[in-house]
Amino acid sequence: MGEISGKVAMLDDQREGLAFGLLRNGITDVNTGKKDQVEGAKGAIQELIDKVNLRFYTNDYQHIADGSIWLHQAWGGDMTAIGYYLPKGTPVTAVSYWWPQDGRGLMGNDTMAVLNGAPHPVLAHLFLDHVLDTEEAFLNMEFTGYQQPLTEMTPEAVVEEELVPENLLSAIVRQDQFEKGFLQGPLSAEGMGIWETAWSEIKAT
Amino acid sequence: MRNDGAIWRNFAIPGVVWLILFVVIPAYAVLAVAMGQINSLLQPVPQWNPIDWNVGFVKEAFTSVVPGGTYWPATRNTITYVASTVVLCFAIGYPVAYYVARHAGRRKGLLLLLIFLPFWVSYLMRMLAWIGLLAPDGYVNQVLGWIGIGHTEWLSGNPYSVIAALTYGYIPYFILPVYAGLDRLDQRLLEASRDLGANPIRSFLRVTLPLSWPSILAGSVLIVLPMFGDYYTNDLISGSPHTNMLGNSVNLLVQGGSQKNLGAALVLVLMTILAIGMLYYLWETKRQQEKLAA
Repeated sequence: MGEISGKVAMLDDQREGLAFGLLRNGITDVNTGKKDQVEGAKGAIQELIDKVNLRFYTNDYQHIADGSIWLHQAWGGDMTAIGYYLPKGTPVTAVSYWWPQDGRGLMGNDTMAVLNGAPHPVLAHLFLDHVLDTEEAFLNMEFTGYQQPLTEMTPEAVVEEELVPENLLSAIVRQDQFEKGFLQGPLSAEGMGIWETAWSEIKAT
Repeated sequence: MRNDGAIWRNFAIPGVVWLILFVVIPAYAVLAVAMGQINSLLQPVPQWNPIDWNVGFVKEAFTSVVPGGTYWPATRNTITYVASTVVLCFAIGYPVAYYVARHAGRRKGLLLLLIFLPFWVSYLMRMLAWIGLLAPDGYVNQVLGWIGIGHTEWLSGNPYSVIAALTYGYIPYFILPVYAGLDRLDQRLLEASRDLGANPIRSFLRVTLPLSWPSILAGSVLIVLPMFGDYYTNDLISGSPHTNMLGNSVNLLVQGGSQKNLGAALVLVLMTILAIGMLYYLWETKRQQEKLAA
């Protein structure tokens, strides 16, 4: 393990990190509030810390691009935009993104909501319409690397629009992944406490 | 009749107001959160009234920083890194301050300017520059390769890199008070030691070094205080939990979620450790002043 020591990183995010630990232990309920399961996930990550001198970052795109990390748990949206961060002359084919072929991987997505009693609900809905407009979504992806959950944003479509290179197509979320994958959802108040305690203990290892 | 003393004493008012607003009240707020409760949504509820203080989190924090506790590795790292940095700052900074104060002559102003030039660049930017220098293909490894030492992974959770970065970041703060102390050293005392037959080394060891001790302490206090709470140097240079300092743990706990009480309690632990250091500094300074007066 000496060669890869310090070259492996996990997202510095308790939900992403501990969910990986859960999956590693065969627990597919990635929103579990059971202490023993979360403790098990903590143990799995601590084991990895000892084995490969695991590091924690949220700027995965930067560390992969500059070569300081070779293997990084990464958000798909960060990887689709990695071409912008790679050193000049480095082909984007130098990076690849792995996702379970059977579609049973960890899923997470940011959401938007209009609060009950919001002062300008019509404007808020217009904004949501704007964000979910197909043309705008492609434009947005060009800037951020992240896609909106639109059926039109298929892997083929984003390649055709030259938004994502073919070797990184696995970073594009497909509709069927929401059915097969393990979607992160809200935790109970008690569960949240268990997750936070476990994560802070991992980080204090 | 005018009371001149009262007029001058009023000059302290802005400082006192400043201290109350930005030291006493925030410190009390930290105390109130650390001694507070947690609501049903696991969010911290500060307890402002001392009668209702809950000492559970503070107890947990103090027991977690001793060997075997959750935050012992971070505490051990903090103490080791800070102590190593102070030693390095002394080893590098003292000769620099000595040279500038005693031998720089007309170049004194220019040298001081050069020492403090890094202050013109933010700490964060200076640390980011180190990442470039210490990167696998950075200049440090290139130079090491030329002289045959070989390639080193400086940024892969290497504690030496964290200590080096801390030293680089804080050394100007050490040099300034040491320089000020050496610069105002009474020349007649040095001349007396030479007249009494001491050679330059003996004169330095028996006169200059002891007399500059208060300024060394002042410089150490100036760098130790911020270093104990430092977290971003480690975040940028290492990113590994193996090199985490207490500041990293506090940062994680207070950023959000249900563990703000514990984070505030860890701040109290840090404050206690630093208070012990400060008390020693005050005691030693008073002792030195009494010695000089005698």
